Amino acid sequence: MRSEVIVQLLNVQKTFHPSGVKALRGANLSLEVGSIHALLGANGAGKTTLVRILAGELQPDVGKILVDGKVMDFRTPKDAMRHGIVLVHQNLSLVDELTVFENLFLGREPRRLFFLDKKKAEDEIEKLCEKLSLVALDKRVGDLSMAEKQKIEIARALIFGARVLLLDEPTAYLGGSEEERLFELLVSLKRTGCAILFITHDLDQALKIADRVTVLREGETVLSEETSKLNVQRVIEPMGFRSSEPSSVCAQVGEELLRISDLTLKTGKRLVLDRVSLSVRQGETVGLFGLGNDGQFDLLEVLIGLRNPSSGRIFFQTCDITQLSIRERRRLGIAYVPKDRLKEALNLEGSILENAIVNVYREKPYAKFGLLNWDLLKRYTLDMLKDFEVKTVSVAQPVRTLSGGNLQRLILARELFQRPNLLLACRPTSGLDVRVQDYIAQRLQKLKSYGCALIATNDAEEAFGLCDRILIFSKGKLKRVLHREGLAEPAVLFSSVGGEA
Amino acid sequence: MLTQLLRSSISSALPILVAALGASFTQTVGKLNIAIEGTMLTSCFVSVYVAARSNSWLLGVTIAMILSCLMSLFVWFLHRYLRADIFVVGLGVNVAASGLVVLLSSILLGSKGTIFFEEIPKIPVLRFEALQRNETLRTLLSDYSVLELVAMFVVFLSWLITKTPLGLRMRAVGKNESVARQLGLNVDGIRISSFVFCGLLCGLAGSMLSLPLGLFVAGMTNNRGLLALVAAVLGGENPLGVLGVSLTLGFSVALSHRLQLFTALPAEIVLAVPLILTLCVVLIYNVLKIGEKGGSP
Amino acid sequence: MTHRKVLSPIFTVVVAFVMCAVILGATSRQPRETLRWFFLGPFSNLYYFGNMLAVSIPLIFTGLAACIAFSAGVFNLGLEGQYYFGAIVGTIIALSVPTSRLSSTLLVLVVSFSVGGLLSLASALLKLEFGFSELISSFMIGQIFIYVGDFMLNGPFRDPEAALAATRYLDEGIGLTKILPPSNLHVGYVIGLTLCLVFHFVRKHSVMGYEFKTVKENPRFAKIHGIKVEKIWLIAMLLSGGVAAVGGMVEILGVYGRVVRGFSHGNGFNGIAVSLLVRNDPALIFLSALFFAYLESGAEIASLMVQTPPEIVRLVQGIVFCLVTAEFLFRRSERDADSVA
Repeated sequence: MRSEVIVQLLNVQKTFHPSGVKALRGANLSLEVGSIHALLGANGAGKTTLVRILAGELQPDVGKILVDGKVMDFRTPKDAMRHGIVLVHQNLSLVDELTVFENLFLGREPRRLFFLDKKKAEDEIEKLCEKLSLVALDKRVGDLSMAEKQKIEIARALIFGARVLLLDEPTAYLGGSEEERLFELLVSLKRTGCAILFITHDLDQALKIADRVTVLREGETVLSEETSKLNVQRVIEPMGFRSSEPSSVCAQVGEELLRISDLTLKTGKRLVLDRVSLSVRQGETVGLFGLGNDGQFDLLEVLIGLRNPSSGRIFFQTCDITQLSIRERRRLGIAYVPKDRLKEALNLEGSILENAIVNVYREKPYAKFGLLNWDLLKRYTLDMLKDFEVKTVSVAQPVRTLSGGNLQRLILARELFQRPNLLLACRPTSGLDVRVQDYIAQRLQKLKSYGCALIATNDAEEAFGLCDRILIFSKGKLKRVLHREGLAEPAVLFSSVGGEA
Repeated sequence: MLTQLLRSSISSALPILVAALGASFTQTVGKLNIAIEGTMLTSCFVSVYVAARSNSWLLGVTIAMILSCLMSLFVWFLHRYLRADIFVVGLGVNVAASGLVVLLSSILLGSKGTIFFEEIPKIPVLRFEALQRNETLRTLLSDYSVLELVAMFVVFLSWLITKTPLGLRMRAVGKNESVARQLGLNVDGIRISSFVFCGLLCGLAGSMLSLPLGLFVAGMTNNRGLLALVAAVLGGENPLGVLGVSLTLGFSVALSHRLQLFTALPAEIVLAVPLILTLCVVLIYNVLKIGEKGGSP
Repeated sequence: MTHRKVLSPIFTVVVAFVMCAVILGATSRQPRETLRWFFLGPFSNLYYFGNMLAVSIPLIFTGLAACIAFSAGVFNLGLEGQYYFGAIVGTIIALSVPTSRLSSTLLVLVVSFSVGGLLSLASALLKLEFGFSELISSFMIGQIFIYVGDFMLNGPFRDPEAALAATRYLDEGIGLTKILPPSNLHVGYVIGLTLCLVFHFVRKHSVMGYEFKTVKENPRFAKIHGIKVEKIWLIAMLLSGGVAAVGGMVEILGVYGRVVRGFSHGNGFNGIAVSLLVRNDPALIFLSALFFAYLESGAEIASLMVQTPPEIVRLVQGIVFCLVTAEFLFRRSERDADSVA
């Protein structure tokens, strides 16, 4: 079987501005007609960036894209689409309020005279609908499940004449049997000559259905090989997980500070958290790990009080806090670092000072008779910044002027300076350089002497480096509990997600 | 009596409906144009003025429609290219228009009060001879002026537009701008066309208020622009919904006129009726919407 | 960045002046006279000057009211209704309950504050319960109560001896002292300025001020850190409506002495432009109010002297509205939509 190369990416480099992050340092990829190609790598390795460049959404600083042997210059996604390259994003590009038919043909509507000709469309895609077993064209897309929405996106790509299908983590929101059906679909598409590239975290998945695997690490291609010659071990190694020293488990693990029993959270019809129960003691740093969005972040939102659980109870230091407001929970000593650093953990329009005091401004001595004592607050902020080594010229300057690392220090400083008994943090070290990451790990260590922490993440390295105990989540269910000491390396977390609890 | 009321409702509703459809085009693309009242008022003035001077009501309507179009594009321009708040700009245009028409009226016609245009050509009326005998049918179906008939046709046209690719793209742009952009739709162009439609329709609506009467007075629109906005917002992108709400509002306006004439109810309360009714309808609508979603908004 | 903040309002003001000059010049039979009266009239003598300041008083109150709402990120569009109806109710109460002077004045101010506050509170509650835009609901409720107020003035509370729809005159004793007779300028000016300064202080130095600012700038951030966002919205709307209503009452107490139908003529809505023009800075509202008052006074004097139509002011006000939220001189940044890592 001759394998004909349809797409090639050569030495692609990309730096983002103004953050200065170098996402790709020379990535290579070669995609063949009628094959399935899996793109693997740790968080931040550059997989999504590479795929977006191929799809025409971003332009590379250096490097070449070749389609059918010819060099391409994709300025917009439309350019790529014209050559048959279509990207299906993780957060799908469908308009929920429109029907299946409307989404499928938006931008290339079949017409008769001046009007939309649905009949013509139906005839055109009859075969396709059968093959994909699409739902009725009249249904509102917003009412469909993730699996069906994905099928529609793939259908749309095919209608547009896609020869190369790019999928960014297609199984992120799919259940077991849905995954199977998706893979069957991909295999049948491959047989018709389509070239498929998909990003995934799931190594077993990749090795099962892909013909070829490419591994990215810190923006470079470190492995590209046929799956027949690979096994899980050979793939994990080049991913380059840094095996760090285990955080020294506190000798005395103290009393139980947090207990959750049977917590369930529903949004609409989706079960976000399914009867989760856990307990955390003083001196522990517990990780909540899931491959994607498996409910671990939502759990923290419930704990701080942003969302109300559908059922279940939360106990903090033996008090039932399920009904308490956010302010009351914070007063009790719970701190929270949200997932969206820029939009939720900070007020970008405000000054450093205004951001630093948001947890304490109501307390004495900072406020008396409803008036704020700005001098005291300034001093508080300066002390806080000094303690957490945040460098700044003046606290009055806009918080936007701080670098990413300093911003995270500020956020952490704000939450930890009050010595909380429980810290809830979402991906505290993501996107930061190693020094800052180490620093954060240090402060978490300090926290152990009087409190505990819950870290929600989908970054295996982070969980591995910071936590003593890691709780594995999958689709809202707590599947297993792993103890750090028993783990050899971060990659183990990937394989532990599958299988029974 | 009832048929009379029904007929008045239709006649009252038509200008509101036409303007509402114009507003709903801009609502569909996600940029509701608040300046309906001011645009209508300006077109009220322009249409009678031009018609009187040129002795052609058709020219009056046409010029009014073109000018209204320009006004709508002015709103869009300020919002899109100078980043002005589209709501405040709409308010501004309404206020400016209210002053402008009085200014023009006093400068061009020397009076600020009610101005009667003597030589306005009468607008032809469509009369069905066959229906003259039946009282009910005659009241309901005969004797609509050409303007009203054009309005009905325009309503039908607006409904048709939603069935075209442009209509679909407008909805896509309004619901999810980033996806629309991703798919390569010309978002700005689509939005501009919605403002053009809005202007044309408001121009027609304004002419419908003043031309048949052959007069102009400041404040002629009397909050009908507001009612049109409400109809647009409540009706959503569905022209039938807008039709329904407009008919209801037309009914309330006709009713309020009757109440004023025939009952002892004070004029002010009567004027408030359309507004109160609208507020209640909007409230009920929102309550139902919440109930549908099952939970907090 | 700061240049932009100062330049845009200045640009708007300049455009407004130029427009006035052009329109007046073009449409008048005596352009030079007209322009002279329009631009210099308000300063030509103490009477006109005092009146100009007096005209700015209601705008100070409604401008402050708009500013209060904007400071918390909410939009009170019912200012006109709150201003109008609050004054009506206050006056009616005063007419029905005769008491000593000081307490009467205080009483009517408190009553009108409450009425205005309730009106805007209603739309705030609609926002909380149903997510119903406070912008639309405050406008509609305001409009409805303008009609209700008109009804009350025409009907049950109308002064039978008055030539127009108005209440009876308030007692001589109730009112605000005139500062610069024979012009209309009265103590209300000082009250207005004081309230502006008080709010300015509150914004900068109080717990509530900080919460207002944070809720306005990033409500999600505020909520996550324990701030009761909805309570802030309610307080902001309540205060906004109350201050607007007090503005109306002050106008009655200081200038009219009774409520005349239609006495509000747009002061409520103009308050929004007043506040937006100075980017919602309470310390500068009196200046912005003065600008608007200047335009109006100039137009009125010109219309007295050379019969120019006063509606020109509305036209210019409308244009100011249009320009006041526009931004001039900004970099066209259509750069590559790079996602930030």
